Amino acid sequence: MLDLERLVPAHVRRFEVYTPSKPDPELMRLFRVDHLHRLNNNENPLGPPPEAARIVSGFPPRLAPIYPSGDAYALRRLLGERFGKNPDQFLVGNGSCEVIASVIKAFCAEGDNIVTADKTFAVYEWVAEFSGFKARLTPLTDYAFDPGAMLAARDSRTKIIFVCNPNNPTGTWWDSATLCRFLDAVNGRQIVVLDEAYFEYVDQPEFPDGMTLLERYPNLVVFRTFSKMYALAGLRIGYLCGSPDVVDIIRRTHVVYSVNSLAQQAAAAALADDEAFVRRTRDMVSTAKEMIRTLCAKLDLEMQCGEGNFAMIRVPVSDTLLYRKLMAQGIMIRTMTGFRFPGWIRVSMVQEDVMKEFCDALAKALRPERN
Amino acid sequence: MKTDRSISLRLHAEPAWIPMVQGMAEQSGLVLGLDQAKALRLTMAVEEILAYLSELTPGAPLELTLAQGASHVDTVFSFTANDADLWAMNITACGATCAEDNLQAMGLLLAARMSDGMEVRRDGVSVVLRLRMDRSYPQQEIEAAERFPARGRLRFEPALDPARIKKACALARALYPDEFVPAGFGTPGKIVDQLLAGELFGALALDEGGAVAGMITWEHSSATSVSFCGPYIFVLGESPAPRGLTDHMLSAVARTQVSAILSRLPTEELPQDSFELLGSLPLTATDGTARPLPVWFRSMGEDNGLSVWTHPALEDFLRQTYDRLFLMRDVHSTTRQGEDVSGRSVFSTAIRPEASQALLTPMLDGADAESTLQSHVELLLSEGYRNILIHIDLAQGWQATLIPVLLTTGFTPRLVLPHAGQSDMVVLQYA
Repeated sequence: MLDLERLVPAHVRRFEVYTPSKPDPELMRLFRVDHLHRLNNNENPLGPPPEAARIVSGFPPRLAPIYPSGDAYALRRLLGERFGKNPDQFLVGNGSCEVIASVIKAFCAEGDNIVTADKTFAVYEWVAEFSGFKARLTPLTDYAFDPGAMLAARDSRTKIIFVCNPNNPTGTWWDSATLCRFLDAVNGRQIVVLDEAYFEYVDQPEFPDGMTLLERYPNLVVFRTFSKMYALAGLRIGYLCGSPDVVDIIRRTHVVYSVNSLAQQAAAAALADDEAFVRRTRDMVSTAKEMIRTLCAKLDLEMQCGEGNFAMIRVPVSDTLLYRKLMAQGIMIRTMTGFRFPGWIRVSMVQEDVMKEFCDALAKALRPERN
Repeated sequence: MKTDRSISLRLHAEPAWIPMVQGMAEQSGLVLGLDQAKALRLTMAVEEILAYLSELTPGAPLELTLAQGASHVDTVFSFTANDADLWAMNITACGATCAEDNLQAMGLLLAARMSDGMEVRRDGVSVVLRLRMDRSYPQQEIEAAERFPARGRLRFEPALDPARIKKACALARALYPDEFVPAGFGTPGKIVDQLLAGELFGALALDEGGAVAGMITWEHSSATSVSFCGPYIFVLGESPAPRGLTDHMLSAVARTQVSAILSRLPTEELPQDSFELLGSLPLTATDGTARPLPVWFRSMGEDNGLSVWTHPALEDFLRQTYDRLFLMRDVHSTTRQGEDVSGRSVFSTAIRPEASQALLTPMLDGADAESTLQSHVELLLSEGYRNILIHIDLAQGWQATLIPVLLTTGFTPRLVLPHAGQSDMVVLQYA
């Protein structure tokens, strides 16, 4: 007889199952709408850069039966050229979620812990907890990672510190001086993961480029992704870069062949001549943020909007109720209760016409009378 | 930290084991923290249940476990039973002849009377019968108190400081009418034990002087839901305490298995804009006074719809309720269509004497459902229970087919608890 009580570790038993949202057609049927705008996952609605789009649309079926490059050989060479690094300093994963898991598996053993913020991308905390490691969470200060609190949260068993820069969902960020002071204080005692998933959206002179700090701080590991700016979320591909010794360790716990051929080719193509595409996307985000600022001023709503292609809005109703009301109008946003920001929503910044539809839908949903 | 302590015994449902089980219950009760009087009541309750099972399922293998809780002792009988035997779990299983002169057949009822709470659960062929016996704590008198001005900014923290927890219990009882305050606040030592053991959760608001400005408590009501009491506010004027306390609770529950938060005893200070009103239960206190109870709900996640079963007799109520709450549901109607429904129905009963409340849950369908339900109602009314509720899990089509029986017996649909069961749960009340 199957005895799950005995077979399943306690840390897995108590872990919450993450339930992804249903496919769009099913959601549209349930909410009785004829369209659905996805403003929940910070996707880039412009689609991949032109060269990557060409690769996606022209992927030859004859390549489907053939295993991909097990370690993204060609893509790593391209990344090496782009950032002036050795290709072996890169590890490519099935989205950055996979490289998060690889880093934690590489450095944590029973009794170890990680440090991160309480209100940030949840996957650092999740992977640690369901792997049996404690996630020590520090509160944000003024919506930003608190370097002092993170340093104080460490103990002798802390192996990794995760910093999301800019932070998802608040958009706050550490400047170069803050980051370097933090890395100096850590002084190599822990691995510091700098998650730069939204790096390409930032246009601030003081914003640090983690790639330029790797030689100075060999305990630093930088995460980047093709899911956000490069609009390849559906192909699941991200990567990390670190010092050769550190990456050599992480590679031991990293599953090879996890990134498919199409993703590798599209990612490589996305890097080629991406300047105009990035500029166009940033312009779209900038216009959208201005529309949100105007809306919040008009409706007297508090907002938190920093870097990245998203903004948070504090709403005067339950965010989970507002989700349902917006879904009934064909708009999908992210509720923030699960991010420990109850009463807030996060909205992805997309094209002007869709933002206008969102603004109208939000105003309607917040009207006191029955919608 | 206290060591978890428990004792288990494997035996068969035979009267010959009664003296040994009595001895185990009495001695274990004392070891696990009950006083002599409570240990004696536990002994008698365990005797009644074993005698009862010996008569109704003779020789069935049983496992008996007594375990120490933070403020109580749990006594759990676990056994397997086929559908034909399950009818014995009806609190009315002694049938029409059930009376004071037929004490042997009234085992479950007597055990329920002697304990501080009883519930029966079924999981496949496994049946779990659980008795709760509370430890004795000194009851505190209500002290006079007044709201005070908070000094400086408030901060919010988990309720883990015994002195401040006891102070908050005393202030809540002094400043709020009885109906808004859990009975347990009258025995603050018990609340401290429960909070420190993680059986109950709480948050405190403290001013810059360290004074307790407010408190909220919550506990698990199912694997995926919690229910809360409060927020209790002790400071004068407009205060960030209510929202700070509820936000603290929401953040503490976020990223756990909890998908729904439901109010148990909400106060007027609850930030209603953060919650959704499901409806109101017209309850009655033990002394007969009306005590309507609003039920507030907060989903912890993005509700992307469910499928639910209903009987046509309840369909309008459900559709109107879902429409009002903006909950997307595929409502499927089902009825009995001449199929053979044999055997005896089973309803488990969970009782809360302090709230004069009995909660019925269908465990098994049967041809005798109407008479079984009627006898439950009659028995519970005769025992003085003023609030008889039944929960129907809308994930179960067979439970939905019981709706006409419930309506005929005198139950009225009151509200829907989203995600409170395998799916949503509809609450009906005997009225």
